[in-house]
Amino acid sequence: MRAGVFLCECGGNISGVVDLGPLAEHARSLDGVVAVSINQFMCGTEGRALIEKAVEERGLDHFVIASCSPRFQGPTFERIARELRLGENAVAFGNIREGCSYVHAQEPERAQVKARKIVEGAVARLHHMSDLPRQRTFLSRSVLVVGGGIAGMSAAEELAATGIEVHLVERQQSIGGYMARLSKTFPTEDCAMCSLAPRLTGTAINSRIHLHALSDVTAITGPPGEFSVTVRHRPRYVNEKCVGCGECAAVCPVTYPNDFDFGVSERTAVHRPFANAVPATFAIDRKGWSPCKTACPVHTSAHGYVALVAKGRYEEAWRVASEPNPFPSVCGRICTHVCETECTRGNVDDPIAIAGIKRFVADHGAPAELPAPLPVFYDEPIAIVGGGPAGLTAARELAQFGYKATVFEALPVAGGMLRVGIPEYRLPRDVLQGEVDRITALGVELKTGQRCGTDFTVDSLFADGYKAVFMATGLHQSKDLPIPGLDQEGVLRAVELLRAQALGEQPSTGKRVVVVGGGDVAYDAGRTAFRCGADEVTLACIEDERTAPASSEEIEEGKQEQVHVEYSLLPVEILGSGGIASGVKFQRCTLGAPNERGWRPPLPVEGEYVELSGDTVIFAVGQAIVADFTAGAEGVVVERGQIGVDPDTMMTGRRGVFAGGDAAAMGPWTAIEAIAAGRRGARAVHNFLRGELLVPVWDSEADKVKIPHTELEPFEPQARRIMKTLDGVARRTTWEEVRLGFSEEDVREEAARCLDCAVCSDCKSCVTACPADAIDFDQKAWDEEITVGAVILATGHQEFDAMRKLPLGYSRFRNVLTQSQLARLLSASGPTAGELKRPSDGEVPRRIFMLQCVGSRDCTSSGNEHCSAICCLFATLHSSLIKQHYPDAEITIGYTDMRTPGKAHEEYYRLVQERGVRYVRGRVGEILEEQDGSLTVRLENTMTGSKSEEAYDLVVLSAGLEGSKGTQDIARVAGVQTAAAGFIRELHPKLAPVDTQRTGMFLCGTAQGPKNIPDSIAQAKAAAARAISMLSTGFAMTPAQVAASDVSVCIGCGVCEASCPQTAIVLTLGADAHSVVDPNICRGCGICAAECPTGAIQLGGFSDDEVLAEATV
Amino acid sequence: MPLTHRGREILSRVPAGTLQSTVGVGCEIVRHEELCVGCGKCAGNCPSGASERGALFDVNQLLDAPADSRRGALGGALRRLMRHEPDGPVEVPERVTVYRTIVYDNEKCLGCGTCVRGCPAEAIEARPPQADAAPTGSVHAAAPGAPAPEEVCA
Amino acid sequence: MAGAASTTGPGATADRKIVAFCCRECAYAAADASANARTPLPPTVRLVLMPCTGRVSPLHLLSALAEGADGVMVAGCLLGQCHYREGNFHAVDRVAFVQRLLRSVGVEPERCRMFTMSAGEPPKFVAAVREMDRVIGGLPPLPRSEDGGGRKAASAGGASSLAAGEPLVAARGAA
Repeated sequence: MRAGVFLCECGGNISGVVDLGPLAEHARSLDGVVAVSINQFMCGTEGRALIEKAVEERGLDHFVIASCSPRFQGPTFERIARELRLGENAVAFGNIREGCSYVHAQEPERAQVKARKIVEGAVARLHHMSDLPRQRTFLSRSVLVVGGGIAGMSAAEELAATGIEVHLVERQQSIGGYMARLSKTFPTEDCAMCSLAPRLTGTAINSRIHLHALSDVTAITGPPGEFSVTVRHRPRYVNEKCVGCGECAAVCPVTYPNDFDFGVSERTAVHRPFANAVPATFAIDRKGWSPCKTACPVHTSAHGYVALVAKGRYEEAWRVASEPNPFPSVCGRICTHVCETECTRGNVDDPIAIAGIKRFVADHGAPAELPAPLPVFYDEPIAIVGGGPAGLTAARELAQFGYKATVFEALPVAGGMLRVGIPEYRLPRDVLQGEVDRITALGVELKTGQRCGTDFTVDSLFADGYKAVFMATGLHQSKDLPIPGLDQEGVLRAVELLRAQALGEQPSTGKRVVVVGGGDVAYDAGRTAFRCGADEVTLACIEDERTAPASSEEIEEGKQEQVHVEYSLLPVEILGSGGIASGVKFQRCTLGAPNERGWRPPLPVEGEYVELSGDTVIFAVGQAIVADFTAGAEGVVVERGQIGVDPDTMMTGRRGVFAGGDAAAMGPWTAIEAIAAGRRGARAVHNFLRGELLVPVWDSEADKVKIPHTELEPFEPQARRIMKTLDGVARRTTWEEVRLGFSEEDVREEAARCLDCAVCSDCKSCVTACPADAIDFDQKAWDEEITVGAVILATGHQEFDAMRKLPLGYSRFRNVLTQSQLARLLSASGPTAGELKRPSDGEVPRRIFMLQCVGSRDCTSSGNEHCSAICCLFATLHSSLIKQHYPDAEITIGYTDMRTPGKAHEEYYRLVQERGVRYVRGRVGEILEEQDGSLTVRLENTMTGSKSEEAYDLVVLSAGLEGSKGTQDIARVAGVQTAAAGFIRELHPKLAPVDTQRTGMFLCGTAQGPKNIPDSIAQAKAAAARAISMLSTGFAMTPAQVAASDVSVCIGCGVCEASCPQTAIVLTLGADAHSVVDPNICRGCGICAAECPTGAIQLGGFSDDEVLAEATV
Repeated sequence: MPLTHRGREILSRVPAGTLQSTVGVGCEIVRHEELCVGCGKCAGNCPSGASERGALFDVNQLLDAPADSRRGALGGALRRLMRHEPDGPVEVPERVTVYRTIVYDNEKCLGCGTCVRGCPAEAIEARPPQADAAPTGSVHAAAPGAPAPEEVCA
Repeated sequence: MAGAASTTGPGATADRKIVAFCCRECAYAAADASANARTPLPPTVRLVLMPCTGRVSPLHLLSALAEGADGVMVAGCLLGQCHYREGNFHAVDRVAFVQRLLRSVGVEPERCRMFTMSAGEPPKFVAAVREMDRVIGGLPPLPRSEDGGGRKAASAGGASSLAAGEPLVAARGAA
């Protein structure tokens, strides 16, 4: 080390007490010192020249400045060292002025000794000082402003004015924030929107402000100056072609509580929150897919047609119902309706009767005329084997893709199991035929009486020029059980019986019928037997009553028709004599544990037998594939009772041959699953023929939306409508349809029960209505990476949830509102156009009570401790507005203390008192609702101690302010701390009120704490100024005085990580874990260095060696 | 590794998934307090609560620590000042985290060695079960070529 | 440092040394302000600038005492007003810990003290230094074992300063 010592006389301030000559001599004797100088003013140009000369001539690498406090001239000398290329941390200071001559002037001898020690200490320190690394940071001249309220807009405006590019990210669909929702502002009573609107427009047209509405900041990484920000743009579903005409909202069938109006009005799913919104584009509030849509195998938007039915728009409803499903009237009758199982309304009372609504739609909304044939785009003809729901659906889909499809049906009629498996009294023939006709009208050719393997083969189809084959042959054979007596006369199979009846034969079923089986088919067989002349029908199934597999409709209707059911019976033998069946012998059974496929094997109970006698026994224990098509279909393999297919491509073992429906599925064998399989098959064929993945074979399921149970409480139970049926026993002799459908009145009331889970019902009526073709349901959320130099957080506040104060009755009593809700009601652009109408009856309230400090200045666990700062004047403002508009109104404000600091606020408070508003210092114990909706307030006057009960027409709660949810979210993303009530902590409450703990991130507005509009704007501009001053130099260096960890010493214990108040330290993972300090975040306090149990982490300029060297001299 | 009777007994009452590894259960845990840096990782990692960061600090840990360690440096300074041997353990204020004596309860210890693997100061040792406990059972890999007990434990 | 020349100051405590670790934001600023008002301070005090009292570790305090200081003081911001939020809370606890260590081995705990003040309270700084000087002046000189390597050596220190009958325990760690 070659050190210099420079002693400053300070114009006598020092040299008047300390004799610098001997001090210089002493300094010269110290180890490592090669140059010593004395100057009158070391901080002057002469002093600098002295240092320069010494560095040049004597080769100094460090030096000591013995002069005033390092807090005064320290930076000057550090800069000189830097400019002389001695690096960071080359100067040690001997504070011989404030630390010696000034304070020991009366004891010069002792001052002299002390000065020697001070210089010794500084020189000792030099021995341990080494250069400190600094990182250079490029400063991007752009700023991210999070939050588009008045604070965010003001900051953005200020930044843009200096030429900085601003990215303004707003979570809502429009900027404007809370101020856009206010009626007027205190104390001037000028209209909030009038002062805001020019700002909104200004922000919109400013070319330097890049607005990202309906977007979230999901990540901020990298160093200050070059923050890398990920912005997630949520889909608007309305693109930039939108002209803001509002035609979409006019046709939207959904009504939803309007969050912009704090729930005091309703809005549509596609909407714009207010007229001056920026951007002016509408947006669709589409949370995902409603549970009914997700549950449906073909993803029919049940929500869509239900919403349209509620509005009486049946033709549009039919379009929604038939778009994914060519059989809406079939599914309206016999569908297993998993949509109803999943319906959220079921968690309130009973699910919406979706199937019944759909039937109404199909019966009353379908167009009278058949559709026109579709044009054929592609040359490849396609053969479909099987004219059931899967095959016909595939044919329709392929026709819609532009193919010529031909359906080969073995039976003389099309419809498959819908036609020959479901009895006419459940699904009338003409209803089904109508939908089959609609498919063939599109240009689908139907060839009946053509059995694959007999009349033609797969090989022959290809030979005839078909380019692809879709096999959907179904399961048309009854399964048998391996029990004796099956070959006797009077033993029937359900599938055969139903088919024979459907094809016009008149099967005989005897008088007393035993049906073996308990599923829908068993019921269908039993109930068909009634209609074929049986007097008595008994079903026997292995399941117990609880696990009975039939649908609830079949069980209910069976009961009405007096079908007798025996449970927990396992057939062991068909009884009979002379080849004629006379009954069935059963063994009592229980069900065992489910196997891996969920099937529960029956466990016979030893010795317990039951005999049921009858002249006919019908087996309905399952169906099987008729595998007669495999001849001439090499590669198409039937395994374990189904055609083997690749689940991704739907292709069988033979190229170009696809399969679907019951024949290729493990179940559940339902019509809607078959329709879904038909759609998949058509897409698979399309992809195969076109040679690329044009359409995904499987529907991608968007996020299912489920309203949590906690949010269902406000919904009042409403009974589900029951559909009328024909009389139970009388109908046993008729093939008339049993279920009669809903009346129009019932169907609309039923549809109105829908909770609008996903808000948007996916009815797509807006798509048709939009004149600008601006609706785009294919929009997806996407991420954008932005580089910014600084970040300003202006994410604002939210109103305290007054529901947390149960005794005040908010949300329970209709006429208890919050000040924010009142602001909407008083707003000229609000739902009532500024007329104050109380929610219960629309009357103008005469007696109004306002309660202050709801959730503020509250030390209970349900409230916040802080004062929300604006509520006293917010209530005063609203009282004044009401009083001016309705002079008869009697307004009482119950306050804790009136707090009116701020310019002209006290004057305003006095003015409003003079206008006749009554202020009572008091607390409310409880609010009670009377029959007519008016309210009784139990009030304790805290001035007089008296208690009273007062009657009011309207109560308004001045709910306090809390950090908004967006504020919590951005704090987590940005890595800044939040304090009580969710407000972001500033770096220092006095000295750095708009800085956060992270360098380069600033904050303003109510995200920092409760404040009024001018304070928010002032803070926003302060934050903008901080960002501007930071970015103005173009690049920056990280500070030298930061902590750094010596990897060779660090053992990775993690104590420093836990101790850092800035979360600047992270521990690396793995075997040789060690701590790493981010110099961009570290602020140099040194807590970590003091905590470190090994000394591995040290603070630049204040290492243990440096400190101890000076302290121990 | 063969387990002792104690090891098997311990293993039988540990909820599944609690241990990072069952290898080594039943080891004897030996703490070298003079090497401890007081970071408390063992306490944080211990699945059974056998190691806890205490409220007290045994001053002798400073005096016994190696001279080249941080605790040793502090102990060296204290030694120059001390007028008598430490009175006993001192109470530690809340924010002083590393000068705390780890309270180790052998009764609660499973001998799983989690603390050994996690100790950044290598101040904890796991010794294989005593030979007198007959190796009557084994857990998982008792196959030939299984690592030596020392490797497994430490 | 034992050889450092000492002046004839007032009283027998003139050669005492008190190291004051002062935080840059408050205590050192208060010290500067009091000095600029030419408020006399006892020359026993030696200021050491720290960024924050959170940087002061027990090692600094004990080493300073072991290496010649008769007292050490930590002076930081008012509690709750640390510029780094909680550095001074750490310091308060560390000082308390060092005091307990000292007491445990028979050294007067008041040789290590914590003071808090704002930058705008120079008199508080002056009062703290004078208080420290008064306390240290009232204590006997702090004896130190010259050889820091063994406990045995401790007996060579200030056995005489101990209360009568209090035995010096022989080194245990030597075994």
